[in-house]
Amino acid sequence: MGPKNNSKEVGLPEEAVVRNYLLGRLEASSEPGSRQIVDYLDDCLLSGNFSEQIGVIEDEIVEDYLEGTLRPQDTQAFEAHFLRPPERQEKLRVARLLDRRLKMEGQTKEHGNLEESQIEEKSTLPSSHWRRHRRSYAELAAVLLLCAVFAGYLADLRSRFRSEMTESNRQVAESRQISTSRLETAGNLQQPVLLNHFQTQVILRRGVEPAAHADAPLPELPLGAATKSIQVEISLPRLPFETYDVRLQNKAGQSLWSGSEPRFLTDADRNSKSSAGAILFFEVPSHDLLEGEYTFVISHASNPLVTYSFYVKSSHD
Amino acid sequence: MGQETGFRKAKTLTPEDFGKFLQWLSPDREKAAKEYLQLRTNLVRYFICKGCAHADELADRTMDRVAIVMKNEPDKYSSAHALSWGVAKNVYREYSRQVTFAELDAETVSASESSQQMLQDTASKERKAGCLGSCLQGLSAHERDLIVQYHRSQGREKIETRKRLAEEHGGANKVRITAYRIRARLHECITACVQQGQVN
Repeated sequence: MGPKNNSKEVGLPEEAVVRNYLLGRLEASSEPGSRQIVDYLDDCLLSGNFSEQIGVIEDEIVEDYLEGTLRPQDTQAFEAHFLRPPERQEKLRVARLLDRRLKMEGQTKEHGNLEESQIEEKSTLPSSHWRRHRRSYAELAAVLLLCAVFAGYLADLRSRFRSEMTESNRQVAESRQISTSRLETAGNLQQPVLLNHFQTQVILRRGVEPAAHADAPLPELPLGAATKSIQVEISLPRLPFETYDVRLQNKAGQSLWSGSEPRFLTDADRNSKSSAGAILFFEVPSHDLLEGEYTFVISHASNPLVTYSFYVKSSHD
Repeated sequence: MGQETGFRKAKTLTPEDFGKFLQWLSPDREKAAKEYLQLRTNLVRYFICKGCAHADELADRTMDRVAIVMKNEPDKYSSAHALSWGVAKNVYREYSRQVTFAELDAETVSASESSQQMLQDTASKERKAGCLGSCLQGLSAHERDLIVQYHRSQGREKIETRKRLAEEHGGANKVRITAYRIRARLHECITACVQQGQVN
């Protein structure tokens, strides 16, 4: 009846095997030997052996999920099996919170030891203001508005930044009306629109494939050294699914950022139930963005639905 | 969590039975309590890793059954740990068999709904964010620096950063475990902070 308590002598199986075990895929496997490995790993857990090593792998699965780097079949197993215990759901919540906070802290260090209060102000100020000024996007078929927020975030510039942001947000709200009108009349999804020094609004082109734009220049997003993040809105004309995943990838297809919880603003938020669909609204750190081509991939259940490509123009000089 | 798993219940465990079980674990009361808690912790972790939505309940059920077995056949088993592992596996098998596919689907949906809820639960998020801030402050400068560096970047930069940290901290596994321990402490700290409502 007792288990084979030989885990310490044998050691932990290789990580890919433990991952499959934690994702519940090993148990469902008919591969020869998988039953013995499951039994062995069960014993490890029950005896507390390799508890930390297994915990590390568990955390890294969560990390990969948050970064959108899990393989599609693993993502499915993660959502259907791994996340079933409420304890794991809580782990995901805390990991997401931690991930965001620590990435912010990392950026802060790079840009000169900001006070924490400044970081939080920076993350909430534009979005909350913009939401209040959001107009109906029913006419927009699929438009991505990419706003790069430039700011030095130095303490002595805080008050100036606030007042200028307030003014520029007002301009953004106005410009959206103009953008909407432009799209309706000209269908021009490529021309960048410069708003002011603080915010650059770029309307990106929708494509089926990231590379399906060989014959036309991509919309350019100028990024300066002080730019810490870009704010992105994606207007979806229809809302066939409850959730969407957003991933930013470079030209080589390497994933640089992913959002498992892009904030949704649906029509319900605006008390209107028209066919306007939803708006994905999220912020992407820009420190990984060197000059070159990038693509946002919007997907549901690992199936890409639409992509948006743009070109980052470094203006560090 | 309050749902019944619906499989075979153990016979009722009386306080006397439980006392005998603790006594059987160790004549030293304090040691017995520690052993009991460690046993239960491992069981909960086991059921979580098996993807069970009712890990606490299953762990308690396992412990109850073990205590009953020990009461009825005290001389048959020499190790409560070995017995509990065997019983846990049986409990899990029963759980797998008796939790129907429909229930599993419902659990999956409920996990997905929970994910949705957690995205929308702004107040809770803000509270946790406040707690995280104070918990991070509670780390030593060295730990804080390590965990920030460990998680600050993505993609290739992340790989490079972690490689460098591994070199600085005695190897990849060591730095991974150190980061894991810091995260675990932060998780515990946040949970305690949220429960106590001590957001600074």
